[in-house]
Amino acid sequence: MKKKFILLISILLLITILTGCWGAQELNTLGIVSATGIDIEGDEIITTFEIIKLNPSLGSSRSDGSKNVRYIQTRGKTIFEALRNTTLVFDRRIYLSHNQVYILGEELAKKGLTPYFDFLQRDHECRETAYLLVSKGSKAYEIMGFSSGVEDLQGNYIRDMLKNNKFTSKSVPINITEYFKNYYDAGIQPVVGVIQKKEKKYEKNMEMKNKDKSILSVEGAAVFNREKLVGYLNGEETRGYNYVRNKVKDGIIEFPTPSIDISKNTLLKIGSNVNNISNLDIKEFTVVEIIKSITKNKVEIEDGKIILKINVKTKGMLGEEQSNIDVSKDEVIKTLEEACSKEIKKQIEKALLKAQKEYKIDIFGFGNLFYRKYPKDWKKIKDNWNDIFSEVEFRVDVKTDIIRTGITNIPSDSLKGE
Amino acid sequence: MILISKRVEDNKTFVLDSFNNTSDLIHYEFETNDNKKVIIFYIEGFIDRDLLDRDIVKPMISNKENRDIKKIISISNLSEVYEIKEVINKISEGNVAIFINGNSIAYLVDLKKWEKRSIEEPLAESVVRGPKEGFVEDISSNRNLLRKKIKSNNLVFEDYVIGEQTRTKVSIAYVNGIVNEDVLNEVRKRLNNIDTDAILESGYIEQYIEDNKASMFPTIGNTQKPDVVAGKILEGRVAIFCDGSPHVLTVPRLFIENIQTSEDYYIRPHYATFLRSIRIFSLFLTILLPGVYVALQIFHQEMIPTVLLVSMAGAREGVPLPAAIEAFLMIIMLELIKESGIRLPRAVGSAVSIVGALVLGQAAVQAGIVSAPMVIVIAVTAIAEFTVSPLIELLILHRLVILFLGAFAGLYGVTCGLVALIVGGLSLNSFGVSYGYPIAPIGKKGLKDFVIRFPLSSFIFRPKGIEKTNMVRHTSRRKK
Amino acid sequence: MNKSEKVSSYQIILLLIIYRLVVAFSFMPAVNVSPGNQDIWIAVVLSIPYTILFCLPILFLSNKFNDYTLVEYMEIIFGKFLGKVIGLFYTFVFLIFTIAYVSILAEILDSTMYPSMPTIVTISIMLITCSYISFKGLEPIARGAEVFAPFILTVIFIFPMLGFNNLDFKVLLPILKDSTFIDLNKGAIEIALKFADVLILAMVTPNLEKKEKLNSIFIKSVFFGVLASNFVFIISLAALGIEQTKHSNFPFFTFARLINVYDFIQRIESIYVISWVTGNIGKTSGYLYFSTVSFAQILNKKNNSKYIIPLALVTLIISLIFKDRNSVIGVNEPLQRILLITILISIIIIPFIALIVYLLRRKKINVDVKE
Repeated sequence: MKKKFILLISILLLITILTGCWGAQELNTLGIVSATGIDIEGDEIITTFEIIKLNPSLGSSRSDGSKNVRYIQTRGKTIFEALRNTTLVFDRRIYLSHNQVYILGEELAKKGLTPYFDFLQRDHECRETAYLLVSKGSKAYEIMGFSSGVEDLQGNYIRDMLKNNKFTSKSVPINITEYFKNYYDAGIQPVVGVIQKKEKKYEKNMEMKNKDKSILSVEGAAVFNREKLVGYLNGEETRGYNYVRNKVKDGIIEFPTPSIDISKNTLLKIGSNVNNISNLDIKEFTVVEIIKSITKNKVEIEDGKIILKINVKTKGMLGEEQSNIDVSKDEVIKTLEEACSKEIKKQIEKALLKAQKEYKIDIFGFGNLFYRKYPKDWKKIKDNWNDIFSEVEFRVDVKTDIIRTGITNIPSDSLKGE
Repeated sequence: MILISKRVEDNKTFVLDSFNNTSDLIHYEFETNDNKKVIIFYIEGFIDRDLLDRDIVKPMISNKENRDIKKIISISNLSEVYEIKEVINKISEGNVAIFINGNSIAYLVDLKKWEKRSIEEPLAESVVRGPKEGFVEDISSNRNLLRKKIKSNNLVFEDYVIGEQTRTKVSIAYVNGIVNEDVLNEVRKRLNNIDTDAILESGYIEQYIEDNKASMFPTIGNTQKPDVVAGKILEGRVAIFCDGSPHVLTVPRLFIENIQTSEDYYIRPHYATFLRSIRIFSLFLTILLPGVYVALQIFHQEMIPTVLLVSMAGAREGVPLPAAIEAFLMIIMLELIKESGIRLPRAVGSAVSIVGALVLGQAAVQAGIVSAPMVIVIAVTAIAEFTVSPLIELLILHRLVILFLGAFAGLYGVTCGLVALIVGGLSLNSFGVSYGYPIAPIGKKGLKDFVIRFPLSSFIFRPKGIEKTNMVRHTSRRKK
Repeated sequence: MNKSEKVSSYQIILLLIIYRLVVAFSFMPAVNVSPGNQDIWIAVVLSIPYTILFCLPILFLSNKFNDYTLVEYMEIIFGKFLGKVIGLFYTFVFLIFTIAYVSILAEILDSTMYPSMPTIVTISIMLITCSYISFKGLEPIARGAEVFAPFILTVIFIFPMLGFNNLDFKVLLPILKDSTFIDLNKGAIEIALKFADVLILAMVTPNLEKKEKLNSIFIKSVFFGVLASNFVFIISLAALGIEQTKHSNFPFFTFARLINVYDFIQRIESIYVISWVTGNIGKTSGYLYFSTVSFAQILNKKNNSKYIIPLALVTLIISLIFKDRNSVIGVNEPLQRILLITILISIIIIPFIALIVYLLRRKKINVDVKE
């Protein structure tokens, strides 16, 4: 009995050895992709890949400034075909599992993403955590090819920029899963990040080796109606969008320093400038750094009308104060809080209005809220929600608490003895 | 059953023939004071000559009256035998045989005194805190060491003589009233069934009486320290001493004992728990690490974080060997170094370590034959395997199997191999006690001593797997 | 199978929980049943009473004949010839399940991780491991469950904690507003008909340490099994949204890929793969073992280890033939249909008939049993 078992095992082992090693890919047969650009030209898909070139690290010497990336561009009728066509021109097999970011050309986004995205969902190598960006005003391959940050790889560079979005809240880091969550949902439309080239203005003597005249910026957001791109939001509108979606974590709010105290109607400024009130054309700003922000949205029906209520509570600390008001006084702080809330409200309303009036689609998820609260009514209006949304009234209510003032408190302009 | 003859000449011829006239058998003939011929036999170097001359020969020679020999010889372990075969056996064991003409009784006196190693710390089982005495090769000294630890009158030794030619003395030790009776009977039965020429070391006994000869999990424990043996007997186990071997066997042995050391009980629970966790972690590490590393590299590159992947891939550029072969070569090199380190003469020791470090480490990586991460992986594996040294043979062989599986079928193969290994281990029984206790089957009382070592005051019950009758340790809590 | 091997109730409960959980956290067949919206988890909870209901005949008979396995007491009830035919049928039932799970396993592995591994290799590795484990007997299988089940359950509970940022439980609202009661019950019945673990329990009855606890074991295992698999289910729904969960073949796997904590704990789906392969090995070896046991009992032999290799080879060949022509996960027929029919006959119809026959022939059977 035992002999038969052993015989069987050895036969099976022989089979395994004879058929060769399957599926095994040595590391040095892979081309690890860190950024992908997808464009469309006519009917053809153009894919551009940024591949990490590894220098053999003998003796632990790092690359000496020479580029360690390679770029490959291929065409095909579908993304998968274009991907496989790379093996005709490149010596390593393209490996997508470590791709950090997909850059979609503007034209492709306008045409509609659905037919092309099936590959990204179906293939097991494509990671769902990769970020999506739309290249604004240019083709994707025009954006690829350089990085102006510390990282050499563009994919890592863009990814790290997106991860730091919390510091300004002016960009949206969306990955494939979130896009599809919003895409499949009936009460919300997806929003995707934006990347664009900007001119770099620099002194000719600085960075002599760097010939790039451009840098990349991820400011803003791209608005989609299901799978078609309909427009963009600029930086402040994106911040408003992030507020409504409760995604603001660590950003800043900058607003003009109020000159009038709310309670006593007296001037806030002290010191030697107090007589130059006519210098009001010098804009001076206050910047509040957000510590924590919570947004609660509600949908209510009042008198047959739909009202959207957005309630924001922010806790911040004073980050920068350009004028010389005395921030150690309570009324001054309250005035600043009031001004901050007004600014936040302005940005939120800007975003809401833009979505309502210009694009006429609901990117904030109010449809979902409506559905959860009034499911029966939702069934009636579900197909027209985007039109209804563009007409509804909204009420924004913001409350800010400034709980810290940094490590100084007296105004910077005070002279000794005042 | 050959009886002793009354004539001393016959006895002398018989004994000398039986010993094939070996040159270290000393015989001395003399006459007592009342003209009776006496002949004594002993093995040179086995006995205490001073005692022999002073307390046996001298009284017999100067015996004035015809007194009973028992009243002449002032040695306290005089015994009488009637059968000559027994005399032959006992002479080899360090006794002096006395034949008196006209007497059909032979007298044996135990005057054993021979060279033995002094008690020192065993090299292979050192502890930071704890007694440093270790067993020696002489079985009487070993039994004394154990008796010093357990001074209770319930500590019982039973003797066996095993091995046709070596006639090795084997003793089993247990505490009556605590020991698991089934295990004890099984041990007795199996020892009686050993039928062989030679028992040179307790390892021979282990291989004859163990449960699953085919499995690589050791089901009989061995140790060189008396406090370990004492601790194990007090939980209901049986210890087996073998003359000529400083390694004492303990039966039954569960898997969990590979992770326990005696030191765990002498230090405080927090640190003991930490050390246990490290041992369990290194157990998994040493079996799985090469296989998992190769599997991830070859099949599952998506499961490695990007930064790590880039540096691993960079290290592998320019290396000619596939990853699996590289790992295999490194493991074989490691075994070569270990084995040569054990066998080589002391003077050359430092040369081997230099060669090993330089060749395997620096030069191979710089020449591009192996990649630096692989050297690190194998080095970590080697370090981890020494924390769980009782299981070394198991670990090394299974590490190779899992490496093979990882290279052929990735993480899936590694998991299948690991599950098969664990289930194979769980299916064992050590002398009737299930090997995986207290993990499987779960025993709450045994779990107090598993990874988290509970404070000693909570060890009220003996682990149920081994001890079935007298379960309570502390007298104050024992219900009568 | 040695009737002197004893398994404790804790081990069996864990074993059955794992069996149910493995299906859930690999490909989640439950996600496509009616009502098909965010109330699916309620349908899963509702399946508990239906499962118990469907298994009542077998439980009753196992309680009465608690020294015999399922195959043995079928023989007693139906008489020699018919009983042996039914025993043969049950052997086939276990074999069908083994084949089904092995095929599903091969497909999952091939889609997610090893696209170019030949199917024969994937299936042979699994079958060799399972044959080895079945060889060792029932006690190692049960002890293995005791060792691995805590590990698998820990993985299931830690992953959601690590991926907490990705979860959004509001997708489960509004509760009960979109589905009718009938829809939910239909879904519950569909789910209850997917699990055949009561057959394992019926075969293990003579080996239980405390036979009188059979009913409580069953109820506990159903309850906790459904609880654990529902937990997995809800987490997947919360992470991916309703529609995406329905579209994914492997929702929990996709969720495991999303986890990214501090940029350090990421790509930990390797742990998921280990726990899931372990669960599958346990399940397949259990079904293979019991198919050999029932085969041995038809032939009135005590030792079942001789039949392991032949039955494993049969499984290998049939899975290869089946798997190389169809996809078994993404495509619903024909595997699901075969399984449904099998479960209907083996758990509901035949035990029901057996129950009636038993009640009619009660006096005669009692005499036989006592001898």
